[in-house]
Amino acid sequence: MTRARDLAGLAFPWVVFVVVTAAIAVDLLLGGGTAGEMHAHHAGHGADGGASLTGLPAPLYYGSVALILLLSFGVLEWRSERRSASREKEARVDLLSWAPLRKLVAHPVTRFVGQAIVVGLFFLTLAAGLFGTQVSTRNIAPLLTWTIWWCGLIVIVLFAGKAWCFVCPWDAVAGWAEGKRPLGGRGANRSLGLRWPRALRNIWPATILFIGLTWLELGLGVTMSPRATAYLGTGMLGFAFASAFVFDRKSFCRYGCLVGRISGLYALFSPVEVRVKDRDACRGCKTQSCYRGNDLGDGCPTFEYPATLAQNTYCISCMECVRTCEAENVTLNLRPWGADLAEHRKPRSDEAYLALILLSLTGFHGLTMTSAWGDVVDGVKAAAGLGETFAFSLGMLAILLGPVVLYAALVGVARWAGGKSAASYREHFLRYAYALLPIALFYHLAHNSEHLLSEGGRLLSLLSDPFGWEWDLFGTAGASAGSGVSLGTLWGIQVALIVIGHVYSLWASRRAAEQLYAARTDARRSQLPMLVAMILFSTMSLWLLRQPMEMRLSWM
Amino acid sequence: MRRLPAVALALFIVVGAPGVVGAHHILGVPHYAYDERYPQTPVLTYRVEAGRFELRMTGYPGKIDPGNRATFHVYVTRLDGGAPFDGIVTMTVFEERLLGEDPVVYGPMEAELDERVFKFHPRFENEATYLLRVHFEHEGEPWTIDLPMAVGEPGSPWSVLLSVAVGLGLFLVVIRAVRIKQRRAAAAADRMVSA
Repeated sequence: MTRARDLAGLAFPWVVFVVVTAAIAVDLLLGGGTAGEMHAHHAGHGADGGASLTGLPAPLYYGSVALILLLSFGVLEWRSERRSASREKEARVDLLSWAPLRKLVAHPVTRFVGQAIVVGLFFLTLAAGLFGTQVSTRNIAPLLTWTIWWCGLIVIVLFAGKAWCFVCPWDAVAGWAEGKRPLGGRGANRSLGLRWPRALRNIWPATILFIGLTWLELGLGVTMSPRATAYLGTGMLGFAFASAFVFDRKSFCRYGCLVGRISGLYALFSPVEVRVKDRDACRGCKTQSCYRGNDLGDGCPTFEYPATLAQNTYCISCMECVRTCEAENVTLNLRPWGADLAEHRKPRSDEAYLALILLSLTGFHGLTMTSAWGDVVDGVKAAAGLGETFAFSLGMLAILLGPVVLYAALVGVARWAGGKSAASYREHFLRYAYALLPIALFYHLAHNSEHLLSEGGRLLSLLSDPFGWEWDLFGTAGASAGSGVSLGTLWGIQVALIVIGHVYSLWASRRAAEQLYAARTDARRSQLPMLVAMILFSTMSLWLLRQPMEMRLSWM
Repeated sequence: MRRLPAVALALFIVVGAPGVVGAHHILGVPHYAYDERYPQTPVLTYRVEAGRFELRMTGYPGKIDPGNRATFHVYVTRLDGGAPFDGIVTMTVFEERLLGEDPVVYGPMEAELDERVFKFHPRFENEATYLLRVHFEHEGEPWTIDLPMAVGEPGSPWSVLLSVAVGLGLFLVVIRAVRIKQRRAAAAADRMVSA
């Protein structure tokens, strides 16, 4: 029975992948297309988008809310046995036990090829943004950056963990400039090798960058400006460059990169991990090459010691440890979704706050694309006599803090309801915060799927004319901006994602409660306020999907 | 025989050359070829659906230079049957600013149907990106369509790129200098130890 559950857990992510991919493929073959169902948005709402996409219909919306409620209390009633950490470890598939795959993954050329392709696309984006037409709909830079990459990044995390970091162009260019050999081995080191400042050895720098990026993206409309998009890309390259030349190893990746830290936190959920096969074997290791490096590669760039690595957060999947371990004791595992959330050992306040901020900002992202947000900003402007930018910033701050304050209050109730726990309020706050990650992640995915599936179709024409200079490189410049799947399929995918995220959050909060309370009844009582929080957040996600969504790009 | 080239030329002109070269109109602007990517094709063409209507807009000239007047033709037709919308269509043009409100540089200008088309003639003084907001109401329901466009080549990336290049160069010089100093200090420390 347990074995069957392990297999089901391992297979579930890939079942979701296959079902969603097949649904999209069938829909496209049958003609699909949301283009005909996109509508100009109603008057009075000053959004930048060209048109809006119809939200969930009422029956689907109310049906989904009812399902969320049913599942919530169903999961609360569901009695599962507590599983030890060793039992959890059994649900793994060692992908690199197949020697050819190990050779491929560990070979430096594999990473170099991936990096070279992505670096090429990155410089294409920069060039198009800087020198191409500034009509956002005719330039590939905004689409490639904000629709394909930024939205696709979360999909990558869901199925391939930190794969983006494996090919990250900022890290690649900065590393090559610093002296790292593209084809492996230790090159000249041109860095000062200073230690990252102690006060900043946390992920607050990345969190602040993320909040700043969201403000630029939504408040200043950077997504609609090819040149501003290129400047942002150059800025990120500047951060990576400066860090590579000043600080030790890849300190920026560990502490400062907003992309790496967001995907790192989400990767607690992902179905792949880099881990040692046998921790006992590491105890006798004299070289510790995975941490220190050797002729085959660098020591862990993010200062992790693979022998004790238990979570994906700071691993950047660079495969250096797979390459350097003489005993081939480091591998790439397949695992069930949410494996790191099941046995989260060391909750940290910076990570917990990022989880809550992700929850707030992903919702905020969706809200700004609804007509309701235009009304909010207009209301703030009129009431406080503020300009557009200040009114936006004030609204953003309120929505950033609102869910955090609500969560903090419900954690207080959860601790009171649980009764006999030795764990402090702080520990309750931190542990339950991780449990909200699946709701944030899956709403993020549901929202992004709207962008990807309705705007992504423009890529075909823009690939032929990336600068908007009337080129037709591949004969596709005149291709219709036909937009992916039909609304019915899109809604189905979105609702399924919200429900999956909700169920995983309930499961993770149950695990958190079990870690906080010895007695099952106390854990259940403590979990109830969290259940309320999760129902509120998931219902809010569905409400956002019900609103007509103003899309970023108009179309021809 | 001497006349052969002249006859051949005359034949070529009669047979090979096109009869009458004349512009016809596609969506209200002169159009000189059937090739849809022919240079005279207006670069700005948009299509969007709004309720029961399809809205198409063409801009002429396609590439607008600052200080010039442009012509925008807006076609609003029913999706079922193609009958033109016969109400009022309003256009407002905003100059996009990075910070603060986007100033209105044209309109709101109302237009009535004129031979199946609503015509607008805004003048663009500055090199900038603009937002064209087209608005109409049908059966009490208001519809707004925002269309992005650029005039000239707003802003130049070269000053920014130059600043970045100079900054990068200075940064690398400083790093190099510090590394040399570090190396000398380490060598001096080694000498002290060996002495």
